[in-house]
Amino acid sequence: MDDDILLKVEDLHTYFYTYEGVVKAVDGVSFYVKKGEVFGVVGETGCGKSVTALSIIGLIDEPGKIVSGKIIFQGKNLRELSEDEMRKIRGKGISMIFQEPMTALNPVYKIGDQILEIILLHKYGIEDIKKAPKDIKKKERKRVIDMLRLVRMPDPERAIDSYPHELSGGMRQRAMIAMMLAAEPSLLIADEPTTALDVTVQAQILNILLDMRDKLGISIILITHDLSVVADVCDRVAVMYAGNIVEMADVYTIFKHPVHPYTRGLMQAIPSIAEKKEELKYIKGSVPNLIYPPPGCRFHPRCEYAQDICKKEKPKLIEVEPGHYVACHFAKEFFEKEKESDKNE
Amino acid sequence: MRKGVLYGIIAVVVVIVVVVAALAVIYWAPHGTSPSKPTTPAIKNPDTFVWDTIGDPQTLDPAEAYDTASGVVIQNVYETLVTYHGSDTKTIYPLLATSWHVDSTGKNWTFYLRKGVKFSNGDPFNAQAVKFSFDRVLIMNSPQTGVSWILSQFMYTYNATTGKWNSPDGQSSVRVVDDYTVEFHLRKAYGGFLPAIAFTVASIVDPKVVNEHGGVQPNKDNAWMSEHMVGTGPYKLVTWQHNAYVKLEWNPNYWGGWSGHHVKYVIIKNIPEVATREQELIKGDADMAYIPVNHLNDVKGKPGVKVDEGGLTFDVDMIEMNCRPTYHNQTNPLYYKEVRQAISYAVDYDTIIKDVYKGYAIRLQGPIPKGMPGHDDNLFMYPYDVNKAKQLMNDARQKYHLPDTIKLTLIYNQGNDVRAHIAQIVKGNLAQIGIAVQVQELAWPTLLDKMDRGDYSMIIVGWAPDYNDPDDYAFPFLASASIGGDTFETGWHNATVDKLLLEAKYTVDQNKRIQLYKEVQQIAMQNPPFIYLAQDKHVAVYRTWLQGYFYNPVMMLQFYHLYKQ
Amino acid sequence: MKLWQYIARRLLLLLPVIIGVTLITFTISFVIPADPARAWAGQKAPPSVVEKIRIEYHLNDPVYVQYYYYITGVFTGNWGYSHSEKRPVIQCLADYFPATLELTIWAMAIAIPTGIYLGVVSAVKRNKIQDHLSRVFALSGVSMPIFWLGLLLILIFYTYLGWFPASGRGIAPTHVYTGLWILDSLLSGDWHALAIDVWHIILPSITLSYATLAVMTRMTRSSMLEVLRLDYIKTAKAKGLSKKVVIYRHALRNALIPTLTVSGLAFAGLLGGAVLTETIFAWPGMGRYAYQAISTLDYPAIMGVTLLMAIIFVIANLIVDIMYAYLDPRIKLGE
Repeated sequence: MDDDILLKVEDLHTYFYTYEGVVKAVDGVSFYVKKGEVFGVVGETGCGKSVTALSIIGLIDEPGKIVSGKIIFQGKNLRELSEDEMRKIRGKGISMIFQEPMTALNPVYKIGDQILEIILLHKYGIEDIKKAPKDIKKKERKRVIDMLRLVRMPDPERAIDSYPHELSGGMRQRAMIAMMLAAEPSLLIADEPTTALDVTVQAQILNILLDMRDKLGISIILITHDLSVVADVCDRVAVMYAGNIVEMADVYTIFKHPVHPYTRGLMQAIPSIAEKKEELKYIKGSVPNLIYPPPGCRFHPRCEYAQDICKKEKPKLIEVEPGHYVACHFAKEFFEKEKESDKNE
Repeated sequence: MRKGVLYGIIAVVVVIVVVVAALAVIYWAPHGTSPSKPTTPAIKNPDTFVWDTIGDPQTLDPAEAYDTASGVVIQNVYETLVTYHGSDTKTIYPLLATSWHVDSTGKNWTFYLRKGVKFSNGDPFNAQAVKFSFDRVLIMNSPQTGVSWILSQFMYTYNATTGKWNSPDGQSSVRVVDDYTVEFHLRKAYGGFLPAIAFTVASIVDPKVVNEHGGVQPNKDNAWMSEHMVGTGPYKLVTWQHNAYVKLEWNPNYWGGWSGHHVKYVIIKNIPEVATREQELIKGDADMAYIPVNHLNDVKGKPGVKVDEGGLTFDVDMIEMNCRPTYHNQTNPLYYKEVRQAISYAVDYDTIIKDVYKGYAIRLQGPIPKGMPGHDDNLFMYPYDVNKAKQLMNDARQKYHLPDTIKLTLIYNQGNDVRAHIAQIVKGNLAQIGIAVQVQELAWPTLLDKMDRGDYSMIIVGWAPDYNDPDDYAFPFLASASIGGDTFETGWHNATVDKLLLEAKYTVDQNKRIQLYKEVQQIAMQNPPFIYLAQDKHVAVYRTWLQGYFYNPVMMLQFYHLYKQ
Repeated sequence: MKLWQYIARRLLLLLPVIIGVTLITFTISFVIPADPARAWAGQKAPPSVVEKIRIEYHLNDPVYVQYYYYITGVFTGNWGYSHSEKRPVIQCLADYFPATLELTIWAMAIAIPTGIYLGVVSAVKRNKIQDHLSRVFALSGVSMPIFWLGLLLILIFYTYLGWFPASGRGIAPTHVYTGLWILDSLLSGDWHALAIDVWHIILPSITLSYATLAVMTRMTRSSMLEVLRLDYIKTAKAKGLSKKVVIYRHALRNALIPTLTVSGLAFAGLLGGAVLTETIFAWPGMGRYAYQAISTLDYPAIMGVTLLMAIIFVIANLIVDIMYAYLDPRIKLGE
């Protein structure tokens, strides 16, 4: 099993030390990602999924800090690496793409140059694209075109000399993907890659991601708040709430047999054409303040099943069945109940 | 870090920086005694005289130049036939002319020229050069400045259309007798002839050089001569960087020779900021600096610096009064001499001298300044007597049916702080005798405009000498417009005074002239068109190592006599 | 459209600008109730001279006639006669403008790189000691009267330390080609003049640069702070690039766009006459000349200086616009 695992995050705590107080954005998160799988991280805005991703790649800036935990990537604890060593991993071992391709690409440089830059950096150790020798640039230009073709960029020869503002949203996101995969990373973290795109384009991009996984064998951590995306592409999913993972399982289980009350609430909140004419179900209450989170289980103020213990003790992730983890004091009970109602259907 | 603590630290840092800067300025700036003061350095540039002053020459062509800055340079590079020596304003000395005499009519002068004089380029100085130089001034007729009037008031003028002179025989006033003898046949005898030709306009230029560069064009200035100089004087022009500096170097061909002590190089720097001039003087990089009277305390007592207060200029300040019968279609109170007398008694002269001039002036005694021939040391001066003033004023009010409060305007030129101060004092003085003064500060051209049109009550004005003759003062001030006087447009006229002034103008008998001017001044004092305020003292500030400095109110600084030791 | 077409089109705009500016200054000078001929001639000049001046400069003619003479003169190189200097305005401008230009170039050469560097340091080390020091420095530059700064520099570096001269431009090089003495002394191989002139320009250019430096620092800082928050900076870091490359190649390139365009206009503004600096250091430039022209009501000079400044601003704006389009590929010229 260990050979299979590409990334293992153990008890990650990332806090932000602001003037208002300490924001405990990620407060004890543990998960693993297997080689070649698409791992989804889903949750509401502010639940800590982006912070988790940035923590993995080491881009947490002041006033934020990774307080404790291990991030083991290809057998090494990333937290023990120096900044220089970490930089070698960024872009080459672990890559990340962001939500808004318009703002995530540098507006004053051509697409081709931006992709070339990462190739020159990791393949040749050349940091300044201007100082690169012409023959290397020419050689790698071909590779850039290949990457663009790989992400199904229309007319790659033209795209390579275009500026970001000259391309459509979908094309920019493809360029981003091409850029972040150009150095052949093992893990790609995609932070809400389709949120800013139209639905049709969304589908194309997701297909490209799957394509990359198939062709290049990379693992993908796909962060999103859109459950339909999760259902579409992910192999395994972690559901986050207020800085913690509340449930983690394969995608089928999450959708069909959610155990944690929050996950269940999310699933029920998905509007379904079959249930029209009923009031949309929602989870009452709102996301807690992460400076002063609720004691014990952070979900307890909104949970209809909350008991005293929930207010005092924070639940840990328990494996209710192989590969299926739930963080709830009544995980086993809910699991049993879920299995029962299954039988009854 | 908490916000409050942060801002506190910033505030402390700022305060420390400001305090340190202030201390640095106080401690290091050369004021009085600071412990680590640089000691007086050895003489810098022993051969060079560096003069920090204000003002840039307008033109270096003596036929056109009429301002002080131009005059300084011209008087050291060119020479005239006669000149003054040292601080003596009473005697005329030979320069390019060694001797002269005049006939009984006063119209015909003969000059014997100095032999062996060369221009700095080696060209010979002779009678032809003299004739050329004088004729040139009158033919060109100084289109930009009008300075040629000084000569044309007694010499024949030139008719550009006919190409002939406006004289009985069509020739100019200047005749060449032989290489070293020149005759002047004047249009009219002029009492101030010798002083007038000591002025820069009568400088002798090199005909060859002029003819090689544009020649003499009627009613046109010569651009080359404005920027280049070839003279017989002790110095040559090296360079004139406009608005920056003028550099002169010694003329090896100078007939006066170079034995003895003379500076060889002169740099006149145009530096508008007084603080900068002060610093250079204190450091010894400048040998002399123009320091205005109200800044003298900055430099008094500094090691190596001397403040030379001996000397009286011929620069005068007065208040002119509009003496016309009406002003703005109403009776002009200043038309009446009693009113003007009353005002003369009401002005607090001593306070003005003390507070405005800081003691660097003396009370102006009449229209002819002290030190100039024609000045009357015994001339009546109006004392500051408020009661007398009130009495005269009241009498005048009754006699001429004037209102209880008389309204008058007092104008001075924009930017002149001295005159602004004077205006305030006078305003207060006149309020005591029932005159409400409205002070107006006007731009110079606007002021001139009002003066020209007689649209004013009182204006603070000044005058500086063109040449050393009472005619240069008394005539413009007191002669009536009908005979070509009244430069200040006071509208004042007196037939007797006119007669006396004309006589004095055209007489060559200097003793007679003194008598005539005495009479003129006495009459004018009783019926004054001017309030005579102040005659400026001369203050020079220079390094103690500078030797040979002297002041003459009608001459510019003569560099040839300066040396450093 | 092509670049040269764009430039040509913009330069054509100079024509209405020149006419507009001269019309305005001409009209203003007519509203002032004073006789320029009288002022030019001087108090002691006889009326005949005043009248001569009036005739020669068409002052007795109606306004439009005078304007006609003036505007045709402008296009033939005759910008009038400067009465405060008794020589043509063009000659005066040819003397003084290069002096101001040289001083301004040096001041900007100090202000821009230093200002940008301090701004970057300030932004990157936000709220740390370097940031605070840099901001105090910038604040003092904006608040300090240039007059005081100049005198302070003279006191420290001339009077007390004796390192630099207090006044003047130095000496003219043996061959004056452009009027920029330091450049000319390089071109004519006059090393003596080069050394002296550089020695003379240091204090005044520091004085003149200070305020612009402060502005550059503040602008760069705020611009950088804005840019550093943007996503593409995160992307650049995520690529594994070093901090230096991220800051200078990715962030600064974007942050400089507003800063450099402002500096273009600051340059033009400084050219307008750094009167105070020129006065303190006795620098014979256009600022002093403009002041001299105004205080003596030397109309041709006033109009000449104003016209020159208008032309400079048109050209500066053009250069800034081109620079903007060059730096930011999102901007297209002529649209």
